[in-house]
Amino acid sequence: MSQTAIASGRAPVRFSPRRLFLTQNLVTACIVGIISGLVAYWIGAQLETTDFGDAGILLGYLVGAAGFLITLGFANDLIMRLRGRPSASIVKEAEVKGWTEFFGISLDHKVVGIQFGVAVVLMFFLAGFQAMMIRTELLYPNGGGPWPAGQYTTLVGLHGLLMMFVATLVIIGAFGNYFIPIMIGAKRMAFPRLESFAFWLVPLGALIMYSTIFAGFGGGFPTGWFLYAPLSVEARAGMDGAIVGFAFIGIAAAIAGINLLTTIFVMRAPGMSWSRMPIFAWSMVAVEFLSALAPPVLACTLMLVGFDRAVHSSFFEAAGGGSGLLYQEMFWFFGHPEVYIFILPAFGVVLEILPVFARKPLFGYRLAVAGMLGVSLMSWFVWNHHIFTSGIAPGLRPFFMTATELISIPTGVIFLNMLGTLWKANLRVKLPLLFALAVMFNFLIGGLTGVFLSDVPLNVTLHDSFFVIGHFHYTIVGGEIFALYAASYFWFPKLTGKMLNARLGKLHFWTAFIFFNTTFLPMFAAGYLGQVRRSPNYAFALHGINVWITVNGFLFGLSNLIWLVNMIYSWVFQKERAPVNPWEARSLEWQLPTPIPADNFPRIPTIVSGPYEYGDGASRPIAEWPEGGPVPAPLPAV
Amino acid sequence: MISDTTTTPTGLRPGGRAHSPEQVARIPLVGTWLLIGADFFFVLPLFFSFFFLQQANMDHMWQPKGIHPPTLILGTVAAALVALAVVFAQSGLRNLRSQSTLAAFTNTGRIAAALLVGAVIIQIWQLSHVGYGIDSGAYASCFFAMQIVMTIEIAALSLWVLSLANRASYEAQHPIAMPGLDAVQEVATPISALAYSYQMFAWFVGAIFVTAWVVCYFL
Repeated sequence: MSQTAIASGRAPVRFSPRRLFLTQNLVTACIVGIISGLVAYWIGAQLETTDFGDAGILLGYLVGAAGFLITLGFANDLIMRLRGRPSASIVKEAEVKGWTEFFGISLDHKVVGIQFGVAVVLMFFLAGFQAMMIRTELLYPNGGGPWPAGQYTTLVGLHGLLMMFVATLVIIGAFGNYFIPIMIGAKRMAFPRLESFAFWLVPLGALIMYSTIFAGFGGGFPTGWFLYAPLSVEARAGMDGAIVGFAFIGIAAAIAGINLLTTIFVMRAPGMSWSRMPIFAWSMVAVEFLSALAPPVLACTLMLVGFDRAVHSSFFEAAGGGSGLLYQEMFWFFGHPEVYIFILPAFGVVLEILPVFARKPLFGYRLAVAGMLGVSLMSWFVWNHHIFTSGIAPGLRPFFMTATELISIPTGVIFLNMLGTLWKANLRVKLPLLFALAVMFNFLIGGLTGVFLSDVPLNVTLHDSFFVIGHFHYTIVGGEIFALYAASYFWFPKLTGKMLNARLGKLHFWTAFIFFNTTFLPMFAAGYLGQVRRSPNYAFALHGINVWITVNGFLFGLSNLIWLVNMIYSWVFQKERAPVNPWEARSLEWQLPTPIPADNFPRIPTIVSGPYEYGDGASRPIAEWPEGGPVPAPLPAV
Repeated sequence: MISDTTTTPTGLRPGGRAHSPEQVARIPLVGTWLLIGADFFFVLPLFFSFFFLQQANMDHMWQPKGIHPPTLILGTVAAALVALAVVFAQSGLRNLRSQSTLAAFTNTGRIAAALLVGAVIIQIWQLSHVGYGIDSGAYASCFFAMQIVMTIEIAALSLWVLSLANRASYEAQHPIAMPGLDAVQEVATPISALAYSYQMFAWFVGAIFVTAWVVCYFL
């Protein structure tokens, strides 16, 4: 039992078969979910209208998911409210229950943050393993590898979709949920039940998507992560799981967006004005507007694909009056803001870390905020650059090309903020800083190649080539995943009370940074020389470069295992506890004891200064702590 | 570093052990605005599909022979019921800040819920007797998808207003005490805040329902 559970004076949870099978918990939820899903599948199969049994499969997934979530307890509060009873007190329910709270509904945002973190990191390694399988296939030219073309496209689709899950939620879900309420001085999230609901949709969506690899569930899907219609309408039954799984992630992202925005808007502590808010919280504001509004478009679009598959409606099939281009328009209206849902939290992490290790105020705080909000706003007006080659009206191309190139201005402003913070700084070179610097280097390449790709002639030439693969891996892996590494090294001591091992960390940094670049930089050349994405076939002349990419890709994969080993070793086996504020940071989360109390702040503090007033000997502590509040950590050295 | 002249959320309680009642009351209001935004973007593809496919008229399959908007009567009655329910509930909801009006809203709310359930029943009847199916070309697909989504939204709205009516009934008999200044427990979300959130969402759903009615029957 955890220390906090002991401190709460509650008895340890004992095993009991009655408790396991007759109460609302993960075991009963799984049992009810599977049974209700099978029954719904059988009913749907009786009403069948298609060759692949889509109505039954879709109904089975949806009813099974509903059965799971209801049995887990998500309907309890709704039923209470429907009966007119006031909602049960959140503070009372947020009491510590020990390790079991990680396997059910928790109203503590810190528990949900860790749930998100562990689940998404597991998915990251699973999707990474699939990347290794893809690269193994590409060791052989002309599709001569171990996986036939049909399985290869499913591999690519699973890797892409699962990485979308990871990229959408890894920083928002794990670090956003855990730290945002603390950083703004709130005791809880605005909608704690919705927060937990958003989490449980994620493993559910991933499981549903993975079920498609089994023959009984359709044997995979051939569309990649775009799920382009009409192929997604006509493909075998495995497509149904991909649709439902992806839609669940969209819904989870929208709920997380609404929840985090409401929390930031309403629940800030006294004195936590907009201009004193940590820049990471601002990045959440910028990204959560996208996260709340863009995924609903995806959810509706996938619903229409489901209609086309299950009941033969005609949204995307030309034979019935539909249009494949309609799907592309709606998908990318979601899809391009989605790209910024990936990268804006990474900017937030880097901007949060740099002043701590530069021991300087964040350069151009307000400009950085404006830059992130500018990116967020402009991301709505660029989606058509993804479909320059799909038959859109030629007159639209200049507008979308210009809009895409303009978005590099606010992005450049954010880069200037980073550089200005580092300028003439007396850097404390620690692991979080190293990874933050790596994000800057990698994203610079990813961003600049994005400017190339926005240009219509080059876009048309390089469309669907490995140049595009190189570009978006530089932005998403080189940008967001390296920011995830940085965030993990930065906040791990506050999350677990342990420091990540520095020697393993340096080994991780250098191997990851070098092998990431040696893997993805050659992809620009491969794409320029004509290698297309989602195909196991390529010209024999490109064999050498593909072998190089594969070998380096495996080495990059191994570097991630060092990170995993470091986290497990440091969390589980390391005895020495980390200092409360090892980086001497100013923001609110570092002023609290570790582990952070269940209700964050026994008494709500008053914020009296900004979070980045480093290098000023006269600066005040960030907050005034009322009597009975936490004992603040020692003041950071100037 | 930064001169701070911006405002902070109102009703904050420095040093308090729980979030203040004012903050608790603002949560559903802000959340509902964002929910409306998300819902707007959810229904947007339905309207976009309608106009996109109408303009494209692929293979003259927008409205193949014999497929046309259904008779106006049922759709109009459903739209009228929704509009009536939304407007009907407003007067009662506006007064929910006073304890004495709670009991009165119980009946008003339940009647509004009944009107919305009536609209749902009419929608289901209409969809099952329209004379063609969702697979009868692009117009039929758009019509069915739009009406199905609208029906689900109205059903959700009826449950929401029913929960408010039941809460008013409960609170009329069990007044909820305001916690003391140094209480650990937060106050339950006040019914007036929930009512205001419902009002905003009801206007939104009413507006998109009527818009869908205009689009499906007249455009």
